[in-house]
Amino acid sequence: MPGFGRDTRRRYVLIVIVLTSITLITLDRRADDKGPLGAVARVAHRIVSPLAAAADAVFGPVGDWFAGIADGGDLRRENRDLAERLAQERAKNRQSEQAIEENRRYKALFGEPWLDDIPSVAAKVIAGAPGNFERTVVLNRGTESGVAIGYPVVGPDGLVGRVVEAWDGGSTVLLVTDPTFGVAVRLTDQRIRGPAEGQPESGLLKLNLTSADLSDEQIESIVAGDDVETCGCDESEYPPGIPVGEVLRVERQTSGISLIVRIRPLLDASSLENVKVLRWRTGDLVP
Amino acid sequence: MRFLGPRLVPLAFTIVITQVVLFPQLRLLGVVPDLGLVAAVAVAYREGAVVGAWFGFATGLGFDLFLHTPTGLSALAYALCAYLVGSLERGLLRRGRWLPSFLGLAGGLVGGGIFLAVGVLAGIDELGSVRALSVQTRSAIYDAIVAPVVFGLVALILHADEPSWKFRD
Repeated sequence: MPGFGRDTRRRYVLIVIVLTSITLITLDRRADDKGPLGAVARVAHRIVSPLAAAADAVFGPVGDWFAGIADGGDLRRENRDLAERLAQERAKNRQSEQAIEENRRYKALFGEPWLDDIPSVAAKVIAGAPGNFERTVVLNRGTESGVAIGYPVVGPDGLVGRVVEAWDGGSTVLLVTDPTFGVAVRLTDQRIRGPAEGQPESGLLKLNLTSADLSDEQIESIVAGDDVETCGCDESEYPPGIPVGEVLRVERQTSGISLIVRIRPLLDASSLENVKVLRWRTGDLVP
Repeated sequence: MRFLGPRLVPLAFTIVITQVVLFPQLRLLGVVPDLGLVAAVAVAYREGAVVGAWFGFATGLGFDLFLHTPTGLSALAYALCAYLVGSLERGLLRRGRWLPSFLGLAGGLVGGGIFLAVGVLAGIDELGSVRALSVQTRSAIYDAIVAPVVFGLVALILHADEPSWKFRD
Protein backbone atom coordinates (compact mmCIF):
# COMPACT_ATOMS: atom_id res chain seq x y z
CA MET A 1 0.00 0.00 0.00
CA PRO A 2 2.42 2.68 -1.16
CA GLY A 3 -0.30 5.36 -1.20
CA PHE A 4 -1.16 4.76 2.45
CA GLY A 5 2.54 4.92 3.40
CA ARG A 6 3.06 8.20 1.59
CA ASP A 7 0.00 9.80 3.17
CA THR A 8 1.09 8.65 6.61
CA ARG A 9 4.55 10.11 6.11
CA ARG A 10 3.06 13.38 4.92
CA ARG A 11 0.88 13.64 7.98
CA TYR A 12 3.80 12.75 10.21
CA VAL A 13 5.93 15.52 8.67
CA LEU A 14 3.08 18.01 9.05
CA ILE A 15 2.62 17.13 12.72
CA VAL A 16 6.37 17.43 13.40
CA ILE A 17 6.52 20.85 11.72
CA VAL A 18 3.43 22.16 13.51
CA LEU A 19 4.62 20.96 16.93
CA THR A 20 8.13 22.34 16.36
CA SER A 21 6.73 25.72 15.31
CA ILE A 22 4.39 25.93 18.30
CA THR A 23 7.26 25.02 20.63
CA LEU A 24 9.45 27.74 19.09
CA ILE A 25 6.67 30.33 19.34
CA THR A 26 6.09 29.44 22.98
CA LEU A 27 9.81 29.54 23.85
CA ASP A 28 10.24 32.88 22.09
CA ARG A 29 7.24 34.45 23.83
CA ARG A 30 8.52 33.31 27.23
CA ALA A 31 12.22 34.08 26.83
CA ASP A 32 11.87 37.27 24.75
CA ASP A 33 15.34 38.15 23.37
CA LYS A 34 17.27 36.64 26.25
CA GLY A 35 17.00 32.95 25.33
CA PRO A 36 18.95 30.86 22.83
CA LEU A 37 16.66 31.99 20.00
CA GLY A 38 17.60 35.59 20.75
CA ALA A 39 21.29 34.65 20.61
CA VAL A 40 20.82 32.97 17.22
CA ALA A 41 18.96 36.06 15.98
CA ARG A 42 21.82 38.33 17.08
CA VAL A 43 24.31 36.17 15.16
CA ALA A 44 22.08 36.33 12.09
CA HIS A 45 21.84 40.13 12.40
CA ARG A 46 25.59 40.39 12.77
CA ILE A 47 26.14 38.43 9.57
CA VAL A 48 23.57 40.35 7.56
CA SER A 49 24.27 43.90 8.82
CA PRO A 50 27.21 44.61 6.49
CA LEU A 51 25.13 43.39 3.55
CA ALA A 52 22.24 45.62 4.62
CA ALA A 53 24.56 48.63 4.82
CA ALA A 54 25.90 47.90 1.34
CA ALA A 55 22.37 47.41 -0.01
CA ASP A 56 21.32 50.75 1.51
CA ALA A 57 24.18 52.49 -0.26
CA VAL A 58 23.50 50.82 -3.61
CA PHE A 59 19.72 50.44 -3.65
CA GLY A 60 18.68 53.38 -1.44
CA PRO A 61 18.15 55.77 -4.36
CA VAL A 62 16.46 53.02 -6.37
CA GLY A 63 14.19 52.35 -3.42
CA ASP A 64 13.24 56.04 -3.17
CA TRP A 65 12.37 56.05 -6.86
CA PHE A 66 10.46 52.78 -6.48
CA ALA A 67 8.48 54.15 -3.55
CA GLY A 68 7.83 57.35 -5.46
CA ILE A 69 6.10 55.44 -8.26
CA ALA A 70 3.83 53.50 -5.95
CA ASP A 71 3.23 56.19 -3.39
CA GLY A 72 2.66 59.08 -5.77
CA GLY A 73 -0.98 59.39 -4.69
CA ASP A 74 -0.04 59.29 -1.01
CA LEU A 75 2.63 61.94 -1.54
CA ARG A 76 0.19 64.23 -3.30
CA ARG A 77 -2.32 63.70 -0.48
CA GLU A 78 0.35 64.27 2.14
CA ASN A 79 1.48 67.38 0.29
CA ARG A 80 -2.07 68.71 0.33
CA ASP A 81 -2.41 67.96 4.05
CA LEU A 82 0.90 69.66 4.79
CA ALA A 83 -0.06 72.71 2.75
CA GLU A 84 -3.33 72.91 4.64
CA ARG A 85 -1.56 72.63 7.98
CA LEU A 86 0.94 75.25 6.93
CA ALA A 87 -1.88 77.65 6.08
CA GLN A 88 -3.51 77.01 9.46
CA GLU A 89 -0.22 77.60 11.24
CA ARG A 90 0.34 80.85 9.36
CA ALA A 91 -3.13 82.06 10.27
CA LYS A 92 -2.56 81.13 13.88
CA ASN A 93 0.76 82.92 13.93
CA ARG A 94 -0.75 86.09 12.54
CA GLN A 95 -3.61 86.07 15.00
CA SER A 96 -1.90 85.11 18.19
CA GLU A 97 1.21 86.30 19.95
CA GLN A 98 0.87 83.31 22.18
CA ALA A 99 1.19 80.95 19.23
CA ILE A 100 4.39 82.71 18.20
CA GLU A 101 5.76 82.31 21.70
CA GLU A 102 4.84 78.63 21.70
CA ASN A 103 6.61 78.23 18.40
CA ARG A 104 9.75 79.80 19.86
CA ARG A 105 9.61 77.53 22.86
CA TYR A 106 9.11 74.52 20.63
CA LYS A 107 12.18 75.37 18.59
CA ALA A 108 14.15 76.08 21.72
CA LEU A 109 13.51 72.54 22.90
CA PHE A 110 15.89 71.21 20.24
CA GLY A 111 18.68 73.24 21.72
CA GLU A 112 18.14 72.26 25.35
CA PRO A 113 21.49 71.58 26.93
CA TRP A 114 20.51 68.32 28.60
CA LEU A 115 20.23 66.43 25.28
CA ASP A 116 23.83 67.26 24.50
CA ASP A 117 24.94 66.46 28.02
CA ILE A 118 23.63 62.90 28.04
CA PRO A 119 26.31 60.57 26.63
CA SER A 120 25.18 59.53 23.17
CA VAL A 121 26.19 57.58 20.09
CA ALA A 122 25.61 59.02 16.62
CA ALA A 123 24.25 56.41 14.24
CA LYS A 124 22.97 56.07 10.70
CA VAL A 125 19.81 54.28 9.63
CA ILE A 126 20.86 51.52 7.23
CA ALA A 127 17.61 49.59 6.74
CA GLY A 128 13.92 49.63 7.41
CA ALA A 129 11.84 46.81 8.84
CA PRO A 130 12.29 43.54 6.92
CA GLY A 131 8.67 42.54 7.51
CA ASN A 132 5.24 44.11 7.26
CA PHE A 133 4.11 44.07 10.87
CA GLU A 134 6.66 46.05 12.80
CA ARG A 135 7.79 49.64 12.59
CA THR A 136 11.51 49.43 13.16
CA VAL A 137 14.76 50.66 11.65
CA VAL A 138 18.23 49.15 11.76
CA LEU A 139 21.18 51.32 12.85
CA ASN A 140 24.83 50.88 11.94
CA ARG A 141 25.98 51.11 15.58
CA GLY A 142 25.60 48.37 18.15
CA THR A 143 27.20 46.89 21.25
CA GLU A 144 30.70 47.74 19.98
CA SER A 145 29.77 51.44 20.39
CA GLY A 146 28.07 51.01 23.74
CA VAL A 147 24.52 50.76 22.39
CA ALA A 148 22.31 48.55 24.57
CA ILE A 149 18.71 47.40 24.67
CA GLY A 150 16.36 49.97 26.16
CA TYR A 151 18.32 53.11 25.23
CA PRO A 152 16.19 56.00 23.87
CA VAL A 153 16.84 57.18 20.31
CA VAL A 154 16.27 60.77 19.16
CA GLY A 155 16.37 62.43 15.75
CA PRO A 156 16.08 65.94 14.34
CA ASP A 157 12.31 66.01 15.03
CA GLY A 158 12.46 64.57 18.54
CA LEU A 159 11.80 61.07 19.88
CA VAL A 160 12.47 58.28 17.37
CA GLY A 161 12.01 55.22 19.58
CA ARG A 162 14.05 52.86 21.71
CA VAL A 163 16.62 50.14 21.07
CA VAL A 164 15.03 46.68 21.22
CA GLU A 165 17.91 44.62 19.83
CA ALA A 166 21.65 45.23 19.83
CA TRP A 167 24.53 43.22 18.48
CA ASP A 168 28.13 43.79 17.48
CA GLY A 169 27.81 46.12 14.48
CA GLY A 170 24.19 47.20 14.65
CA SER A 171 20.93 47.59 16.52
CA THR A 172 17.21 47.63 15.92
CA VAL A 173 15.05 50.55 17.03
CA LEU A 174 11.32 50.20 17.70
CA LEU A 175 9.78 53.38 16.33
CA VAL A 176 7.40 55.65 18.22
CA THR A 177 4.77 54.84 15.56
CA ASP A 178 4.74 51.09 16.35
CA PRO A 179 1.49 49.81 17.89
CA THR A 180 3.43 48.24 20.78
CA PHE A 181 5.25 51.45 21.66
CA GLY A 182 4.50 53.22 24.92
CA VAL A 183 5.91 56.38 26.51
CA ALA A 184 5.05 58.58 29.49
CA VAL A 185 4.29 62.06 28.11
CA ARG A 186 3.14 65.49 29.21
CA LEU A 187 1.33 68.22 27.34
CA THR A 188 3.91 70.97 27.36
CA ASP A 189 1.60 73.88 28.10
CA GLN A 190 -0.92 72.26 30.43
CA ARG A 191 1.59 70.12 32.34
CA ILE A 192 -0.86 67.22 32.07
CA ARG A 193 0.87 63.84 32.31
CA GLY A 194 -0.04 60.33 31.30
CA PRO A 195 1.00 57.18 29.45
CA ALA A 196 0.69 57.32 25.65
CA GLU A 197 0.33 54.06 23.72
CA GLY A 198 0.73 53.16 20.05
CA GLN A 199 -2.31 52.30 17.98
CA PRO A 200 -2.46 49.49 15.42
CA GLU A 201 -4.59 51.26 12.83
CA SER A 202 -3.26 54.75 12.58
CA GLY A 203 0.35 55.13 13.73
CA LEU A 204 -0.92 57.70 16.23
CA LEU A 205 -0.36 57.65 19.98
CA LYS A 206 -3.31 57.54 22.36
CA LEU A 207 -3.21 59.31 25.71
CA ASN A 208 -5.96 58.27 28.13
CA LEU A 209 -6.81 60.86 30.74
CA THR A 210 -9.30 60.72 33.58
CA SER A 211 -11.29 63.91 33.74
CA ALA A 212 -11.68 63.56 37.52
CA ASP A 213 -7.96 64.33 37.85
CA LEU A 214 -8.20 67.48 35.73
CA SER A 215 -9.84 70.81 36.20
CA ASP A 216 -12.40 71.99 33.65
CA GLU A 217 -9.99 74.72 32.71
CA GLN A 218 -7.25 72.18 31.97
CA ILE A 219 -9.59 70.03 29.90
CA GLU A 220 -10.81 72.97 27.86
CA SER A 221 -7.27 74.18 27.28
CA ILE A 222 -6.22 71.04 25.38
CA VAL A 223 -6.50 71.81 21.69
CA ALA A 224 -5.19 70.43 18.43
CA GLY A 225 -1.61 71.48 17.79
CA ASP A 226 -0.51 71.44 21.44
CA ASP A 227 3.03 70.14 21.90
CA VAL A 228 3.67 66.81 23.60
CA GLU A 229 7.00 65.76 25.09
CA THR A 230 8.41 62.99 27.26
CA CYS A 231 7.77 63.64 30.94
CA GLY A 232 10.48 61.44 32.44
CA CYS A 233 8.14 60.62 35.28
CA ASP A 234 7.19 57.39 37.07
CA GLU A 235 10.12 55.16 36.10
CA SER A 236 9.88 56.36 32.50
CA GLU A 237 12.30 54.80 30.00
CA TYR A 238 12.95 58.24 28.50
CA PRO A 239 14.51 61.41 29.91
CA PRO A 240 12.18 64.42 30.18
CA GLY A 241 11.72 67.09 27.55
CA ILE A 242 12.13 65.17 24.29
CA PRO A 243 9.52 66.36 21.76
CA VAL A 244 7.19 63.46 20.90
CA GLY A 245 4.35 64.92 18.83
CA GLU A 246 1.42 67.25 18.74
CA VAL A 247 -2.21 66.86 19.73
CA LEU A 248 -4.30 65.87 16.73
CA ARG A 249 -7.67 65.85 18.45
CA VAL A 250 -9.35 65.38 21.82
CA GLU A 251 -12.19 62.88 22.19
CA ARG A 252 -14.45 63.25 25.18
CA GLN A 253 -16.10 60.00 26.18
CA THR A 254 -19.88 60.04 26.51
CA SER A 255 -19.58 58.96 30.13
CA GLY A 256 -17.71 62.17 30.77
CA ILE A 257 -15.26 60.35 33.01
CA SER A 258 -12.36 60.08 30.62
CA LEU A 259 -11.00 61.78 27.58
CA ILE A 260 -8.71 60.47 24.90
CA VAL A 261 -6.03 62.66 23.37
CA ARG A 262 -4.83 61.51 19.94
CA ILE A 263 -1.21 62.48 19.34
CA ARG A 264 0.47 62.65 15.95
CA PRO A 265 4.17 61.73 16.38
CA LEU A 266 6.66 64.21 14.94
CA LEU A 267 8.73 61.33 13.56
CA ASP A 268 8.87 60.98 9.78
CA ALA A 269 10.39 57.52 9.42
CA SER A 270 10.62 57.72 5.63
CA SER A 271 13.16 60.54 5.76
CA LEU A 272 15.05 59.39 8.85
CA GLU A 273 18.78 59.11 8.19
CA ASN A 274 20.84 60.15 11.21
CA VAL A 275 19.94 59.64 14.86
CA LYS A 276 21.45 59.78 18.32
CA VAL A 277 21.24 56.87 20.73
CA LEU A 278 21.12 58.28 24.27
CA ARG A 279 23.05 56.14 26.72
CA TRP A 280 20.46 56.76 29.37
CA ARG A 281 18.67 54.33 31.68
CA THR A 282 15.60 54.68 33.86
CA GLY A 283 16.65 56.36 37.08
CA ASP A 284 19.72 58.09 35.61
CA LEU A 285 19.97 61.73 36.62
CA VAL A 286 19.39 64.27 33.89
CA PRO A 287 22.56 66.41 33.66
CA MET B 1 13.46 9.94 -4.63
CA ARG B 2 15.93 12.69 -5.42
CA PHE B 3 18.07 14.24 -2.72
CA LEU B 4 17.38 17.95 -3.07
CA GLY B 5 19.29 19.30 -0.07
CA PRO B 6 22.31 20.64 -2.01
CA ARG B 7 19.94 22.65 -4.19
CA LEU B 8 17.34 23.73 -1.64
CA VAL B 9 19.63 24.86 1.19
CA PRO B 10 21.48 27.52 -0.89
CA LEU B 11 18.13 28.54 -2.41
CA ALA B 12 16.58 29.03 1.05
CA PHE B 13 19.63 30.99 2.21
CA THR B 14 19.52 33.22 -0.89
CA ILE B 15 15.78 33.84 -0.50
CA VAL B 16 16.10 34.88 3.16
CA ILE B 17 19.09 37.17 2.53
CA THR B 18 17.35 38.79 -0.44
CA GLN B 19 14.20 39.32 1.61
CA VAL B 20 16.05 40.89 4.54
CA VAL B 21 18.67 42.92 2.66
CA LEU B 22 17.07 43.99 -0.59
CA PHE B 23 13.31 44.18 -0.21
CA PRO B 24 13.14 46.68 2.68
CA GLN B 25 14.51 49.09 0.03
CA LEU B 26 11.88 48.03 -2.51
CA ARG B 27 8.60 48.51 -0.70
CA LEU B 28 5.56 48.69 -2.94
CA LEU B 29 2.27 50.08 -1.57
CA GLY B 30 4.11 50.31 1.74
CA VAL B 31 4.75 46.57 2.06
CA VAL B 32 7.35 43.93 1.25
CA PRO B 33 6.51 40.58 -0.38
CA ASP B 34 6.87 37.23 1.41
CA LEU B 35 9.60 35.83 -0.82
CA GLY B 36 10.04 32.74 1.35
CA LEU B 37 6.34 31.98 1.14
CA VAL B 38 6.25 32.32 -2.63
CA ALA B 39 9.37 30.18 -2.96
CA ALA B 40 7.87 27.53 -0.66
CA VAL B 41 4.70 27.48 -2.77
CA ALA B 42 6.83 27.10 -5.92
CA VAL B 43 8.82 24.25 -4.38
CA ALA B 44 5.63 22.56 -3.13
CA TYR B 45 4.08 22.88 -6.57
CA ARG B 46 7.04 21.14 -8.17
CA GLU B 47 8.19 18.73 -5.47
CA GLY B 48 5.08 18.03 -3.42
CA ALA B 49 3.73 18.74 0.03
CA VAL B 50 6.51 17.29 2.17
CA VAL B 51 9.46 18.98 0.45
CA GLY B 52 7.49 22.22 0.16
CA ALA B 53 6.55 22.18 3.84
CA TRP B 54 10.14 21.62 4.97
CA PHE B 55 11.40 24.32 2.62
CA GLY B 56 8.70 26.73 3.86
CA PHE B 57 9.58 25.92 7.44
CA ALA B 58 13.27 26.64 6.79
CA THR B 59 12.76 29.94 4.93
CA GLY B 60 10.12 31.06 7.43
CA LEU B 61 12.40 30.26 10.35
CA GLY B 62 15.27 32.14 8.72
CA PHE B 63 13.03 35.17 8.17
CA ASP B 64 11.68 34.96 11.73
CA LEU B 65 15.18 35.60 13.08
CA PHE B 66 14.92 39.16 11.74
CA LEU B 67 11.35 39.91 12.86
CA HIS B 68 9.83 40.95 16.14
CA THR B 69 6.93 38.59 15.80
CA PRO B 70 7.63 35.28 17.63
CA THR B 71 10.19 32.96 16.08
CA GLY B 72 8.32 30.08 14.44
CA LEU B 73 5.29 32.12 13.34
CA SER B 74 6.38 32.66 9.73
CA ALA B 75 7.84 29.14 9.68
CA LEU B 76 4.46 27.66 10.60
CA ALA B 77 2.52 29.85 8.14
CA TYR B 78 4.87 29.16 5.22
CA ALA B 79 5.01 25.42 5.93
CA LEU B 80 1.24 25.01 6.21
CA CYS B 81 0.62 27.03 3.07
CA ALA B 82 3.20 25.05 1.08
CA TYR B 83 1.73 21.80 2.41
CA LEU B 84 -1.72 22.84 1.20
CA VAL B 85 -0.46 23.71 -2.28
CA GLY B 86 1.57 20.50 -2.48
CA SER B 87 -1.47 18.47 -1.47
CA LEU B 88 -3.67 19.78 -4.26
CA GLU B 89 -4.82 17.09 -6.63
CA ARG B 90 -2.85 16.81 -9.82
CA GLY B 91 -4.75 18.50 -12.62
CA LEU B 92 -6.60 20.84 -10.31
CA LEU B 93 -4.10 23.51 -11.21
CA ARG B 94 -3.59 23.75 -14.94
CA ARG B 95 -0.33 24.84 -16.40
CA GLY B 96 -0.62 28.36 -17.64
CA ARG B 97 1.05 31.68 -17.98
CA TRP B 98 -0.76 33.17 -15.01
CA LEU B 99 -0.39 30.17 -12.72
CA PRO B 100 2.67 31.48 -10.81
CA SER B 101 0.97 34.81 -10.15
CA PHE B 102 -2.26 33.10 -9.15
CA LEU B 103 -0.42 30.77 -6.76
CA GLY B 104 1.60 33.70 -5.43
CA LEU B 105 -1.58 35.67 -4.69
CA ALA B 106 -3.45 32.69 -3.23
CA GLY B 107 -0.40 31.63 -1.22
CA GLY B 108 0.05 35.16 0.07
CA LEU B 109 -3.58 35.37 1.18
CA VAL B 110 -3.69 31.88 2.74
CA GLY B 111 -0.22 32.01 4.29
CA GLY B 112 -0.82 35.56 5.48
CA GLY B 113 -4.17 34.53 6.95
CA ILE B 114 -2.50 31.70 8.87
CA PHE B 115 0.21 34.12 10.06
CA LEU B 116 -2.36 36.61 11.36
CA ALA B 117 -4.60 33.98 12.95
CA VAL B 118 -1.79 32.18 14.78
CA GLY B 119 -0.27 35.53 15.74
CA VAL B 120 -3.51 36.62 17.39
CA LEU B 121 -3.70 33.26 19.20
CA ALA B 122 -0.11 33.85 20.38
CA GLY B 123 -1.22 37.13 21.93
CA ILE B 124 -0.18 39.69 19.32
CA ASP B 125 -3.36 41.73 19.26
CA GLU B 126 -2.34 44.13 16.50
CA LEU B 127 -2.28 41.24 14.02
CA GLY B 128 -6.05 41.07 14.42
CA SER B 129 -6.61 44.64 13.28
CA VAL B 130 -8.15 45.84 10.03
CA ARG B 131 -4.82 47.43 9.19
CA ALA B 132 -3.09 44.05 9.46
CA LEU B 133 -5.59 42.56 7.00
CA SER B 134 -5.00 45.45 4.62
CA VAL B 135 -1.22 45.06 4.89
CA GLN B 136 -1.43 41.32 4.27
CA THR B 137 -3.67 41.79 1.23
CA ARG B 138 -1.24 44.30 -0.28
CA SER B 139 1.63 41.94 0.48
CA ALA B 140 -0.22 39.12 -1.32
CA ILE B 141 -0.55 41.35 -4.39
CA TYR B 142 3.19 41.99 -4.25
CA ASP B 143 3.67 38.21 -3.91
CA ALA B 144 1.73 37.76 -7.14
CA ILE B 145 4.00 40.28 -8.88
CA VAL B 146 7.27 38.61 -7.83
CA ALA B 147 5.92 35.04 -8.21
CA PRO B 148 6.83 34.55 -11.91
CA VAL B 149 10.46 35.40 -11.14
CA VAL B 150 10.56 33.18 -8.05
CA PHE B 151 8.84 30.26 -9.82
CA GLY B 152 11.31 30.64 -12.69
CA LEU B 153 14.25 30.61 -10.28
CA VAL B 154 12.92 27.54 -8.48
CA ALA B 155 12.34 25.76 -11.80
CA LEU B 156 15.84 26.65 -12.93
CA ILE B 157 17.46 25.35 -9.77
CA LEU B 158 15.38 22.22 -9.22
CA HIS B 159 14.52 21.02 -12.68
CA ALA B 160 16.89 22.47 -15.19
CA ASP B 161 16.65 19.19 -17.11
CA GLU B 162 12.83 18.87 -17.02
CA PRO B 163 9.92 20.73 -18.63
CA SER B 164 8.50 23.63 -16.63
CA TRP B 165 5.41 23.39 -14.40
CA LYS B 166 5.43 19.64 -14.12
CA PHE B 167 4.01 17.98 -11.04
CA ARG B 168 6.10 15.56 -9.07
CA ASP B 169 5.13 11.88 -9.51
